[in-house]
Amino acid sequence: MTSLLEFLQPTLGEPHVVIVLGKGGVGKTSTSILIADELSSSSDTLLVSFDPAKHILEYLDVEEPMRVVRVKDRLYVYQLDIDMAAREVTSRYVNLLNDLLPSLQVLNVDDVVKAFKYMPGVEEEVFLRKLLELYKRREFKYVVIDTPPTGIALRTLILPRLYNMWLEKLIEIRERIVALRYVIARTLGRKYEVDDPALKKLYEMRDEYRFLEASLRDYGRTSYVIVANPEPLPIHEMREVVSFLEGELRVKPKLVVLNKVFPDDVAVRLGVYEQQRRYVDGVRQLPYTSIVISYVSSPPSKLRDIARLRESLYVLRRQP
Amino acid sequence: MYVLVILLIVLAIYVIAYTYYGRGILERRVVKASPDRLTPAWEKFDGIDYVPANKYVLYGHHFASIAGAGPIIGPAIAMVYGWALPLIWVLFGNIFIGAVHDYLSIMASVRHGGISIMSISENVMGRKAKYIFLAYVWIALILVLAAFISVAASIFVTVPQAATLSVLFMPIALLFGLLVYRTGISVRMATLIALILLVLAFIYALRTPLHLTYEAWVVILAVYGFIAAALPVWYLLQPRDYVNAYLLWAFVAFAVLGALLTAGYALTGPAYTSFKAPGAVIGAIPGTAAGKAMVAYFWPAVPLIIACGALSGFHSIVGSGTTSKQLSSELDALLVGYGAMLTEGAVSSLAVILPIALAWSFTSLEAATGAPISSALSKVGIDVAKTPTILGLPAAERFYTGYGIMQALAWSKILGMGNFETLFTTFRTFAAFALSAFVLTTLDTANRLARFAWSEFFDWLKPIDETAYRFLTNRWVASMVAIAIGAILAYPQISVYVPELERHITVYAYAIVWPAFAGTNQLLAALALLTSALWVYAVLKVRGWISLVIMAPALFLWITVTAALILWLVAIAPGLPLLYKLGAGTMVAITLILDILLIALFVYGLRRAS
Amino acid sequence: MVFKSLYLILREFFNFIRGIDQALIEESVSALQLEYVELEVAFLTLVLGPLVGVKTVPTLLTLELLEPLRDEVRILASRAPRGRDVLADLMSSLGGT
Repeated sequence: MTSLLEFLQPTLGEPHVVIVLGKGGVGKTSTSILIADELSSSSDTLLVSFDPAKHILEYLDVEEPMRVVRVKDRLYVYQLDIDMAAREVTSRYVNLLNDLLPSLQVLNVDDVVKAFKYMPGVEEEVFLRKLLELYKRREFKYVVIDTPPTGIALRTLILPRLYNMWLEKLIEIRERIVALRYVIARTLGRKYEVDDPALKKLYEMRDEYRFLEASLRDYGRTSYVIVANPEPLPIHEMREVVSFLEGELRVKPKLVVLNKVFPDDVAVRLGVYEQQRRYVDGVRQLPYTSIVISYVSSPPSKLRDIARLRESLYVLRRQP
Repeated sequence: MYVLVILLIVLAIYVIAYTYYGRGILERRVVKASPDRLTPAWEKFDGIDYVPANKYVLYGHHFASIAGAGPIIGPAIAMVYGWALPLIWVLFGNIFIGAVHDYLSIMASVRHGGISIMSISENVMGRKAKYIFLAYVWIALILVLAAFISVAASIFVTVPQAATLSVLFMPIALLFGLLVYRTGISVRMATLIALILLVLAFIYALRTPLHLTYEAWVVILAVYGFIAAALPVWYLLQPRDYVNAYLLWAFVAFAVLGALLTAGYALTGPAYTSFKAPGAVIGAIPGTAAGKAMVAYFWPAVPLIIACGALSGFHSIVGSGTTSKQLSSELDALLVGYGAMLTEGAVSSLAVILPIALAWSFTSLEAATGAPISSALSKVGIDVAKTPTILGLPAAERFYTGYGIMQALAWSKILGMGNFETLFTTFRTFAAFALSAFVLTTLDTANRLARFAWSEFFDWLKPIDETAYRFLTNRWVASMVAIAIGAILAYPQISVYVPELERHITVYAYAIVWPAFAGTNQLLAALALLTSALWVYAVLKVRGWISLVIMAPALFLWITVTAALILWLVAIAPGLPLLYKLGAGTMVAITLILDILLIALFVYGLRRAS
Repeated sequence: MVFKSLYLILREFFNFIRGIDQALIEESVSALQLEYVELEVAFLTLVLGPLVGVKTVPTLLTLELLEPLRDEVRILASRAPRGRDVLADLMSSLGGT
């Protein structure tokens, strides 16, 4: 049985990030654990879950979110709690906000944080920041990410481009402002502050998000794994994700995992043989490496169960 | 009457007025200015808009903003009554009305936290007042465009050297911009370079006239105004405005020096010719019935003629712009507001009325001074036999011819009479160029502002019909409308055969449009003054004879201007060519209606406050 | 006595000239100043949009820029109430009639 690591090649950056996408309920979490477990047999691996369902805590007997916990030899786990993360981000600015917008003082900290948390787009932005952080965690060789539901995940992945677009625009205006300020001050013989903290901040952010955007598109730094079941909705969503990756990020998924595939006899008995056959063939025909994981009667609930999954795994297609 | 006498009288009257009326009455009794009350510059200090400024600096800024072509043309036209009446109107109109108007506008704005006169009128007279003001401002600006384009075009036709210099001015201004804003050169150095280049260009221009037709210039200027107002051409506008300021001060300085040097000469012009003048003075076509009829009585027609020299409606807006936000102490307002306007009046008196009065009768002056005036004039196309007095020339030309003669007389005292002719052409060109430069600055500003006022005015349309609103307030449309109307009104030049003089004279559009421009401008001033008066009465709660001191001139002005405009509509407008009946005529009619509306609001406000 | 008042007059006169000179120098950048302030307002409006319900830049981007822009926000606060009343300011800065 070949190693999953082989399918994820080339792995050039440190850390190399594996992003596991897929519709909810298809077995994304178990697949992520599977991959992380195998990768950790040779190197330090961090498994991160952005999934709000937080199954990882159950699976791996981890008590708290928002902490890196060592689970095995070289396997570490971190569960993000979006509420706590959003609170952490926004509470930093609450005092500043209260100073600048006195009308907000009527609300207390909780209200302000809540107001921000529910604003459209803020959740994706929090994920974005965490994602950026993860690319810098050099102490790990691999980082495996169990993503939130597909919609949010894809919006998060496209966010760096949106950020960069805005940053370019803001930088353009700000540079002109700074230039004018300089000319006016110099002409009037006034002293002039050479540094503009806002512009410096904008440049910093541009560097960061350009780095992230480039990394997300870099075959060697990021691997995309899509998990699906041989059923209409998961397959449809998988195709959407593929088209997103190819169209917007211009990358190919390195691995397609077809999970919960019934053995033929079971399929016949359930009357889904034809359908399943069709979907499996469809996936085989995609120009990506794909593997099949069989359906197991008792769903895995602990780390040791994951080993059984590995046994029922076979390669569907090998794409060079 | 000697030049020196006039000079001393003017100075004396202004000094007395400033001290006793300005400081004694206005500052102390009416407004009760106090150095302890914090001005918005301190209270609302933000380092950008609200910054206290040194009073002389502010004076310099304010004066540069209000000075322009207005105080020049008006008095030049008014010389038809002799020099005494215009001088009296300029002096006393200034002291009691114009400068008061400027001062009160600034103070009202200061006491209202630095908001503009329009917002104040909204507060004092109600919301409708704001729209009325906007409509006014827009109409007034269109007429400014029309009158000024025509003036500039006529200057370029009669003094083509000024045209050359104006054209050369553009690249020099651009160069200045590049030097200061792009390379590291200091402003002073760049200014020096620019001024030297300007002088060189001037010398070159004197020998190289640029000949184009009047109509061609109108079109060129219209296009220029449109482009300059529509595009953010900061690198051109900014330096040009800046160098203009130097031009202004040079112009003023020469005027004063000229008066001092020619102090001993006697004025050749009559102090008083007549109280009546032919309708042509207030815009009728010369030679027609209306043009010949002696309908232009000095009172009430004078506001249609002398506009900015005595007072100007735009000053209230300027004063309540940056000036009120940068006033450091309430006591500074007297110098900046009252003082700057008095200075403008002084400019009218000394740079326009005095030279024209001096150079009135060419042959008499030549006889008295021995200067080769006739020969100098013939070199610029004026035949002294056919045009014995300066009144024979169109208004703008009276100005720069008079200025040229006075300066030439002054400096040839030092440099010798042999240089008279050169000095004359030099200073004539200088004055013509200065006038055209002031006009050009006004052109794109007026266009920009007209565009803005137009958009502001239509904000009531937005909730009703968004598409129409968007189309109308599109900046190109708004700009185009303003400048197109202005240019159309400025386009005609009419050649009229006058049998008494046995020759043709050219009547430029500005002669016809000027009264409309002046009238609306003065009406704007009257309304601003009424607003201030109402503020003094209602808010400052000044009663008794002091309040009368403000109220009386305000009412007097309002009555005068309204009467003048009605006179114009009745006696002059019907005889005008269709273009002007429609164009200027409707505008004046509209302004009169708006005027009635505003007066109604004023009375209502007055009643409520009592 | 006479000397003193003469001295005072002369001193005021020189202050006057100095003031005019300063005004002239400032005149050289008045239009640039106008553009600068307008750009500043535009920039701040873009950046602070999310805080007032106008969805311009991503929200957290706004928050990150708040600290460095802290002082400048008061420009916006000071100009906002005067809103559309800019005709007068324009007229004084652009040079007149």
